[in-house]
Amino acid sequence: MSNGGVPEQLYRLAAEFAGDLTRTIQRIIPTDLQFTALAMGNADRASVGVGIFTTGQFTPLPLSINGTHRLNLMIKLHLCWDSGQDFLAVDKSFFHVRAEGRDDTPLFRLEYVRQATRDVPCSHLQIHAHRDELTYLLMVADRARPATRTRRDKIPRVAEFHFPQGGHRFRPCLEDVLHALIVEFGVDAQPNWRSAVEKGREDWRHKQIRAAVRDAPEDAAEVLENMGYVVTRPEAGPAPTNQARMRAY
Amino acid sequence: MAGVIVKTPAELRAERDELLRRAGTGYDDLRDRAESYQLTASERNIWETIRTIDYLLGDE
Repeated sequence: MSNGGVPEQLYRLAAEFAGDLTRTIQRIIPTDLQFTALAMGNADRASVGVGIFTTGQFTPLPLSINGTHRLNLMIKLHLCWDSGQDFLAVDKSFFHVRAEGRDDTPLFRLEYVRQATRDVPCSHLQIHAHRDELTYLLMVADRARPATRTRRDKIPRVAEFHFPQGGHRFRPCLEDVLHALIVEFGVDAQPNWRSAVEKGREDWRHKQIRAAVRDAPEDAAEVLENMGYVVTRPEAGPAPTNQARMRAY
Repeated sequence: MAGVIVKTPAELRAERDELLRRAGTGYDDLRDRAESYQLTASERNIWETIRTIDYLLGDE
């Protein structure tokens, strides 16, 4: 059975994805806006676009500071089947932050590309903002923020904005930084730098995956069982999730 | 409740054409201005929608 040519499973997953995103945003930002999945009827291919879709267009999420609309966050995701055709995977995601009422240039963009090229990281942050725009917003924010981070009588600096980078387990590694410096700035490198970077990155990710499994062993057990592994829990019962690690910024 | 909007390829192409008509320009001009961040807010919304339509159509 299909919905307008979209297979039932795809329709359900798309609706769940949009619904989950709506609930996530509405728990964090005071807004009534909802996310909608736009799907094309095609039994052979899953392609879905998810975003705030109003009057036939994708529109950004307005963000206010002290009740005044100051920023716009474009949240848009392109989804496809994962490799097992069981779940919807993010093919591309776009999180673009713009200052309201200013020009089209974003302050910054955080994007993910599943099929990235060799020298563009699949998850990347691009900062566009001129210093003036960011410091203006930081000054506006200071007036709204509690005293703990107030910089009264000091001009805020762009360097004071902390861009989140994936927490304890999913942060970039040193090899990622070196890779960026080599391809973006042309930093001198060894002839075999690429294989060294890739090896180091892989080693890092193995370590981080092991650490992540220790943080959430039941998640690991469930995934393994779904893959056909037989997992035996400890006699004392399933190991707990390290919630502090999982929730750390 | 968040919804799913299903469109046929023909409907998506028609909407794409309508969006370009509303933008008052051709695709190439819109794309060039989008890439150099010279769009108005409403043009930016149109461009983002066209990008996603192109993704759905497999024309990206």
